[in-house]
Amino acid sequence: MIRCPSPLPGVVVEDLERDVCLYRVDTDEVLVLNQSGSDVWRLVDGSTPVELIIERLALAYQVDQETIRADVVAVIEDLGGKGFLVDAAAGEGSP
Amino acid sequence: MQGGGLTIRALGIRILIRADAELSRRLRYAWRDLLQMDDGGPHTIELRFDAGVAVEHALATLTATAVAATPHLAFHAAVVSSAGAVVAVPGQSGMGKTTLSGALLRVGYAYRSDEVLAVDRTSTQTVAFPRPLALTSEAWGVLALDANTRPTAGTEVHVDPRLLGGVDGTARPVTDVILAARSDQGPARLEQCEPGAAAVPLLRSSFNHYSDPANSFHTTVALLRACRVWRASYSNAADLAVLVRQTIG
Repeated sequence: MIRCPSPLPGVVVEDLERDVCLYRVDTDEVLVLNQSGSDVWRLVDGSTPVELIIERLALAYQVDQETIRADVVAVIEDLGGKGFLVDAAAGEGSP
Repeated sequence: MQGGGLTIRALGIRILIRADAELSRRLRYAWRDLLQMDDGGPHTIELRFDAGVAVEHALATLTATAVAATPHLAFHAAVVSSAGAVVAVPGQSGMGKTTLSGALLRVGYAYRSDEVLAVDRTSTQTVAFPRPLALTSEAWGVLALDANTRPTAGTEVHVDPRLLGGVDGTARPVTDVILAARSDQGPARLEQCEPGAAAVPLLRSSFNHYSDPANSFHTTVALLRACRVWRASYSNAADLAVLVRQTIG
């Protein structure tokens, strides 16, 4: 579970209307995020924990945090699984 | 070798072609939209063809050479234009780009290329590459060309685009990208979609983005920002061409 997502260094980012386009030069992979995925990405900076991302998006969408929690976590885990972001908190708290 | 050569400018590359008189004559005709007066300056590339080389082989070599050396970002795509639009249809070999190019010429578009969308990496203007169309027997039928000169099945014939319509060799920006897919049946369909839908197909159809991948990605997205993007499905290229003309203009 990613706790504090951070863009993978070297990922190239472009806005295209409401969508965000991501490009990994190392693997030549392109990902075009839809509007909600783009909203999540724009809050991913390596210092904002997932919980705070959920809080900010809930405020922006004017919905309860639990309403969007699963979707936000799914987007972040998916982006992590595809290697477009990493967990900046990885290793913290380990012995 | 007699007859010498000719100089063409293709995709930003000056190519000096050495061939015998007959092949030079045929290439000079086929590539007349790209011919350049030889000003004595340095050529980027020199190609030499032995006597007896088939013109189809020479044309294929010229295309491959220009694509490999171009400084522009080059995509596998058909490109046509009208007064108000430059329409690109990206796709790999065999998806029917040439047939669709011919069909679009038939409904009034001008020809820019059946193979390469070349984009200046800074301005995102496109550079025309109006090589002859390589038409198959199937395309011949779709385009309703003279049955008496139809190529035999399994072969291609290079056709002057002026047999089908006009040629546009000017530098212009792309206005519309069509993501076209063949279907077995049903009427042609054309629906506008989000520009982001074309990002992956375009980059996947690139010839040379790997030479400068990050910059190529920026250029591709910049191109799409200025475009409308459409999804199309069709079983008959002529039907889609009519729909494109009616919808995009």
